[in-house]
Amino acid sequence: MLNRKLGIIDLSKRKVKITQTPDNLKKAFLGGRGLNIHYLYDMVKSDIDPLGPENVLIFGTGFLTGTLVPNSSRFNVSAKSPETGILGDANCGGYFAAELRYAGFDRLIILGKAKEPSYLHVTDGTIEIKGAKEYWGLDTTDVQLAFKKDLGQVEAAVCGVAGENLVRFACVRTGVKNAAGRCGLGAVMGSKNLKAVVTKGTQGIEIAHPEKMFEVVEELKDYLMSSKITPILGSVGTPLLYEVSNAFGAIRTKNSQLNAWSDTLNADVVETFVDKMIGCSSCFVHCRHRNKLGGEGPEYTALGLLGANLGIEDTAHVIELNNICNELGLDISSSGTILAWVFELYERGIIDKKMAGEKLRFGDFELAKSLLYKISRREGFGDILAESTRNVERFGEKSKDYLIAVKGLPQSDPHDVRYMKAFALGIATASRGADHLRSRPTLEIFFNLPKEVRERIYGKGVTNDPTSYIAKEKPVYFSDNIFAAIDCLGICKFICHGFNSPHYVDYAWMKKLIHCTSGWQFKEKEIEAVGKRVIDIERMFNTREGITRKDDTLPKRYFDDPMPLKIAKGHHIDRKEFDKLLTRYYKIRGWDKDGQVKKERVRELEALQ
Amino acid sequence: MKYLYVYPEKCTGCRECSLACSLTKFGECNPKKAAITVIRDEFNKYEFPIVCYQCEDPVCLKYCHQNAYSIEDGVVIRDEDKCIGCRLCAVLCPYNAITAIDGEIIKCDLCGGDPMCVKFCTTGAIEYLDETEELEKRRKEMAEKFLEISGK
Amino acid sequence: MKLAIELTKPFSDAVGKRELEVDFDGRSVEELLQHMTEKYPKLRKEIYGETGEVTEYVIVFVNDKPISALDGTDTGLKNGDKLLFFFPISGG
Repeated sequence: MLNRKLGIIDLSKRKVKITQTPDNLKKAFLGGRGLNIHYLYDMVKSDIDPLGPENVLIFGTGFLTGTLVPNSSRFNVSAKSPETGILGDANCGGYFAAELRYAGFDRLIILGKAKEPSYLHVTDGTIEIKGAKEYWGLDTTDVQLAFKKDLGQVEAAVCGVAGENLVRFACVRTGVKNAAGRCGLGAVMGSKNLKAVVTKGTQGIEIAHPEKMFEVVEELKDYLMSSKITPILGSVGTPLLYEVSNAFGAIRTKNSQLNAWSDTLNADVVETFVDKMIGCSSCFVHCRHRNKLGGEGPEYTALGLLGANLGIEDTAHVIELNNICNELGLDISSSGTILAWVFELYERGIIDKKMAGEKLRFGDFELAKSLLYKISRREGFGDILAESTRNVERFGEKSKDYLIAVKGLPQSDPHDVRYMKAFALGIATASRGADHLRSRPTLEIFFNLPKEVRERIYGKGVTNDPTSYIAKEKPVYFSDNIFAAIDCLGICKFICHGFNSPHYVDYAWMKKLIHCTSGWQFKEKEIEAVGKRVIDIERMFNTREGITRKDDTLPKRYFDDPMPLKIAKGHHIDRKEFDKLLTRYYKIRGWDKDGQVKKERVRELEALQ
Repeated sequence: MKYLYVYPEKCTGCRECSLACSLTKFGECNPKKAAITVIRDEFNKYEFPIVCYQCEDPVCLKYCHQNAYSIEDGVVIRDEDKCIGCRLCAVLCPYNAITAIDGEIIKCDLCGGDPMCVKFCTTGAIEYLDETEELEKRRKEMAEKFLEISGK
Repeated sequence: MKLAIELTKPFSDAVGKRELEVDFDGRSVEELLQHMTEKYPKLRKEIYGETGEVTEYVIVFVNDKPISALDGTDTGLKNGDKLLFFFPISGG
């Protein structure tokens, strides 16, 4: 399993180099998100244009991807983000990553820019740069079907029309709905004239200790399947979260002017649109809804951000918007956030009909739909919206007060974080901007999580009160580290300890899985150290792009406007308390008071380069 | 006698069955090098596990000129020593249940009565069950349905 | 005392509705859970584990705080309290 190759493809020079990541680097970063940031930090110069040929685009599979290990389907796509100008990194499931490994590769690093539309064809140890003229302009499903027709049962990671047109929140897509959604990495593909990476392989992943793998995975299967959470995720999926967040009053509604919305988007309504639940490669959870309207989803994110946040109540409409985003290759989180932002700006008179070309309003499905198409083609007002959060300059400083974004990245999760302080710190400090998949620290609200379990996981002093700021740096620190580690392994967060449950795959499980697969003996602390290393280098990357303490903040509304509805009513983030919490977070991370990685640590990590 | 039964409506396409098969037979994880294959197409919306039905009158056995196949306790077994790797069985099997890859012929032997594929299926899409009349009926229905789909 | 209880899946499925108005003589959340599971036996398996302990798969809010931040199942209740039951789940 350690013999997979690293492909370095220079599209400008049309040169392919096949090499290997040395074992010492694999030991330091494992794979996936970790090795991606290692290479990115090394190869990307800080002053480059993310949409220029100097940007480096990396597709990296996880250390365990494609094996019998449960939910080991994942890969990370990384580059400098055209949406934020800092780290761009997105994790994705499906079948592409496993197939890339069966084709003999761990990772592809793509440099330069092709002269004409191209795709990479990766098969059993070889990489070819091929012309993609006939595939350019196709939607994400159509292009994948065309590749299957022309090349057989391939898996492909593609950009849509949005990526071709350099929409700054274009995603990379594989399959019907899996997306490396965030940070505009589809636009990086478009900027390189790269429509797709297409792969097919027959090379098995050799396992160091097959008997041991059977034993460990069978034990893990019993453990995962005995949890009450697994069957709920596998039958209802993430739409259950909508109902929970909504009942609570934590669903971002109409650009966070409100915090609760209609019951019509509840899981039992969504269920009426579900054909079958399906899974990604090696998945035990199978949370993917094959919907009756021709696509997959919606996930909680789509329900919240294309539903409540746009003021849309009809589930069928939300599913249609979800399917459109997927077909065009638009990131759902950014799409829903940016549209809601301009709807409110219009209501407030900050932008007018002259700029928008038409009247903007919440609750108008046809308007939302037509804007998504316009964004993807950069037509009219869509050309402006395609610039995402960079529009603060165009719309004026006042517009920033209503923007639900951090570090230029629209918030991913439809959860209004004003109530849960640890969650708020998480999105303020996440390495790619406002994002819940770096550290969603939600265990603290567990009903009867015994004190000793809580302390074992998070350390001492963390209270069970989600509204308290006391020691909330600890759950964020813990979650950051373990989620980074699981992203390096290529395992889905749905079975990661601390994401949905105080159970599931923790460092002890990771240690066993790494050992049976590769024969490598890691200590639990060493796996945690991989996670910490990743967080630190990601921060160093961002520091080089000018990120400092002032950027680790929250949307103004989260500080200044108390939540108006339901249980969460009245809650907001206190600036002083938040500032103290941030200081404590830096301290526990070992960063200086401005949030920078300390010099000796920088030297240590740069020595690995 | 116990056989494998597949329930495509429960199959999520994850391929843990194939991975377990390749791991037990070859020590590697490779869904294409397995005696059980999940035919899946998320665009055309199907997931279908293909297994050996252990036919009573199997063409693999009938046409093997090396007499490499035999039926032992209701299981169609290939003798590796007799097999010359001509792949005729893989070509002839009406269910495409025999895989030929990397110079290997892969034919399900039910893991000697403890099939690994079943162990790692989380939804019950493959089961290893005693052949009762009802199951036998279902099995034959499935085979007929499959023949119909494959146009043979 | 009268309590307003909002239930989400799977608790709402077990009870058959999403909102309950409960008239209740007890004192604490623990007693309320007993009262509710007696009245709605299907709720039992969602609330209690095999050993009879309250499972970790139910989060109960009393007004704006989870009972884990209050006194757990000993949390006292008073007339007019609003409760929310939900299943812990994450994702995006």
